[in-house]
Amino acid sequence: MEENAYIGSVISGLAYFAVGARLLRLGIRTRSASEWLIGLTFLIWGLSYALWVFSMASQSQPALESQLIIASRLTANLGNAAIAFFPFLVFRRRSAWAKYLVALVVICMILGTAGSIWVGDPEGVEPLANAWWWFEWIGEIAPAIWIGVEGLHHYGTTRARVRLGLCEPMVSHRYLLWGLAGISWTLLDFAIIGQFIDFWATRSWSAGLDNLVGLFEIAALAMIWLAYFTPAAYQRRIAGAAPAAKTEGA
Amino acid sequence: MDTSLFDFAAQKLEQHTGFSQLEARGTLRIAVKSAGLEAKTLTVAELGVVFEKLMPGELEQRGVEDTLSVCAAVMRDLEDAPAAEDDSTSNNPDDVFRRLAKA
Repeated sequence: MEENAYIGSVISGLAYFAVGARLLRLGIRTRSASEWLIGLTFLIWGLSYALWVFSMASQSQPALESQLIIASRLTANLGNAAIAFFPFLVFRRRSAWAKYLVALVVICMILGTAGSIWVGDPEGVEPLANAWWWFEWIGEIAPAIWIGVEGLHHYGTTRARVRLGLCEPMVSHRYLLWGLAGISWTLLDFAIIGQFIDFWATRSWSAGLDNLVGLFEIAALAMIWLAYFTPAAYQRRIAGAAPAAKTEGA
Repeated sequence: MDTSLFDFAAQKLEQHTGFSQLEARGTLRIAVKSAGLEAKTLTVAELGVVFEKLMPGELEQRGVEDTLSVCAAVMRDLEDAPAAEDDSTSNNPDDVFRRLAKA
């Protein structure tokens, strides 16, 4: 995890800060828990990336580097637990299984974090020797899969509503972008496993897997960016593909 | 709002078509589903679109004559539908996803 990861982390951190700040501002205005939550989650992720970047810049001071990596990891876990509440609040507020799933994610994150610290792997770099790492991984991938499935499911149902003029094309498309972001996060989690297994076998980080992780990271970011900072030309293109429906803001 | 609006519309459809309760509910459920809507979260406006754009075809397939008049009658009845919770609230996923890009 060298230059590509560093550049990718800088870009990701800045992007999550930008989107998070914007959504938090919206949350303050609307007083809606959904906006608050997703804005706060993205800000927490942005902070985690920032700590990671600082750790990479502190390689000459191993103790500081380690502390920053641990802080980055704890912050990321907090964000990963928080994002599980978003699909619950927006899509499945009344669903019992969704409540249990959110609880499972939070429990996995707490157990994984505490267990990793307990067995002396607070940086989370020994998944093959540290069973607690997998609790964190499950807590991380479960919301990603949920977001992916929920986004694509709602995209499917809104296509019919768009044709009937009951849903704006860009809202429907935003479900698709959200679903694709979830899928990208899911693939990213699998790529991370490959990266760790490869590191365990070779004791060096594979450049190919590093690029793959970066690719999924950037893909998810691109979807989030398009969903929340949608360029006017892109909106026009989506609206043009659905002539029967009204356009956003029209 | 549970299914009270759906129940109300199905009952009116039953009255205006001579369908059995099962037929009316089944036909309405198919139309609602093909509109990408859920029976539990229907609004009067959404039901209006279903009866205007989809239901005539569904009724025609089931041998109902003068489908447009039947649908118009149900739509008139919908104006007297029991007070429904407004599901176009801030918690509606469409509303959340619309707002998210307007920060």
